[in-house]
Amino acid sequence: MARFVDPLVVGRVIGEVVDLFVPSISMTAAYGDRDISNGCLVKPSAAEYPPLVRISGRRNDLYTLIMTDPDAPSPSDPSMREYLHWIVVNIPGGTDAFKGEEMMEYMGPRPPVGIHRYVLVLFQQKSRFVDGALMPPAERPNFNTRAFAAAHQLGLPTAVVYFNSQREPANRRR
Amino acid sequence: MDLKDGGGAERRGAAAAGAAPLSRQGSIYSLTFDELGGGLGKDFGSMNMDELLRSIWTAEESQAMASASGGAAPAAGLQRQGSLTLPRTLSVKTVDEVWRDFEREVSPDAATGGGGGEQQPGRQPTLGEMTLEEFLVRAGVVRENPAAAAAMVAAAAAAPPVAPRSIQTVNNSSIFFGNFGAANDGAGAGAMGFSPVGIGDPTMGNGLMSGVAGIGGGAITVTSVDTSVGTMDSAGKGEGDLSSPMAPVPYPFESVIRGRRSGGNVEKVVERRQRRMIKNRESAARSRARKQAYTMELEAEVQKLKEQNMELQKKQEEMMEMQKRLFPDMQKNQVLEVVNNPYGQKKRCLRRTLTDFIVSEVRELLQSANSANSCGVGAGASCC
Repeated sequence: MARFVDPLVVGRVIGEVVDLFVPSISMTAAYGDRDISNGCLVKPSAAEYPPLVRISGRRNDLYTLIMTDPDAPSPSDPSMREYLHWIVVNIPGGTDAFKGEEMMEYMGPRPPVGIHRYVLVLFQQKSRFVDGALMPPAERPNFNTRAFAAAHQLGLPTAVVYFNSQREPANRRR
Repeated sequence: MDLKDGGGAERRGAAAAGAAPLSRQGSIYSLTFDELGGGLGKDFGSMNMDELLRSIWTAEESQAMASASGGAAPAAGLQRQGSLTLPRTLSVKTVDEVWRDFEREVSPDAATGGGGGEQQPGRQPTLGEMTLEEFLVRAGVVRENPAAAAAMVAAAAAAPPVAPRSIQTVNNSSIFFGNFGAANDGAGAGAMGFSPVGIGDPTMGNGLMSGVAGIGGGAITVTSVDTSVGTMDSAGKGEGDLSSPMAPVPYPFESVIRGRRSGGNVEKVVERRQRRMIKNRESAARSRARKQAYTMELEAEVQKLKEQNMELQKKQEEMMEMQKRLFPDMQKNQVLEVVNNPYGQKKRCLRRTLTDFIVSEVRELLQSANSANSCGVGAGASCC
């Protein structure tokens, strides 16, 4: 199992975004037909729309997916760490993120400086979040995945995948 | 070190040769007033020193903008702020007045026959032929120590450089109280006489001495600066940032300033350089980690696919075994079997698809392994 978290440790996702955990759910994410593996590079233009995030797990269990950027605005000075990009709650196990409820609208990567990591974290919920029980964060900057998880009794993540993204040269930008 | 030679000759030499021309090329400081006046479209004579400096800065800045690309330009701006300090009494004088002061001072010096005195009259006949640098230096715009300079004049004729230096050191430590070490002060003081000798001098340590020597000849001009320089100096120092050695800016006083930079500035520059270095290292470490993480991910993926492949192969073998056991004489009685057992064909179909699947899986695996390799070596940006 260790080898599944190794890239996360080396990529400092474990440590800077989440604590060490043992993956118990498999999660795959794909932008279009492009699968995301940890540490791969995705162009911002390719990630404009939300990825298809498939998860395993039992149908009765519910999951929360968070996407954050711990390198905002610049990896060498991440004063906005973390920048929140997406929250989806109440995702039934064995389905994909589109079956859940979007609590924070998806925003594609827009790294201004440097190569940023974009981390998709999956938590298993203790129970269904009903309307009003979960207050979405007011702002995207300075989000804290750990604090969010603690505030909503989400515990440790069950799966994490991350990719890198870098600002595209102007002429290639769409 | 030849004291007698210390004045004008070395000055000119420094201006013409050594490290100076490199840094001075294309700098407005190397222009004479005639050239400069035409370039800026201004008459300098009637300007007071404050205005002169301001116009120099403007010209310098636009020059830096033009010659240095993006990032360097702001650095030039930074430099500029601390680069020249103007004694208050001097700032209100017009350029012409300052020039007259020079002339007045030259004649008594020529009478004493000091080191630089002999060469001075022939060297600077008019203001128009004087370079901006020389003018500023002589006017005492660039920080100079008046008391030390005065001492220098007294010692100019024959005094060993050690004596004035010790005076300067003492003097300095009283002016620049606080965080500058005595050694640094000494260095600052040595160069404080600010003879361009320092420019031509390849070694800093010697620059300290020859700077003192140089002033033996040139000091007379400096006496026009009154004691307010001291306070101005320390104020300038408070602002820090004489210049950044990293900025590739055509800065004429660069080499001189490096020699006479005070302790505070050295510390600041060193600190800035260190910060940049640390940042750079962190960035490099991040880059390595990224690469390593991705390699690990791909290796794990390869491992996973290998295991999957093995499993599938094993399954296939098992199925073939089963087939053999169930239909031991399939080869012989194939026709019969097909007739009797309509599922046989389907099974073979299944086997074929299974084999196809494995083949394609292996192919994919190889491809991803290849791309992983090329990733590690090359740019590896778009390989996932």
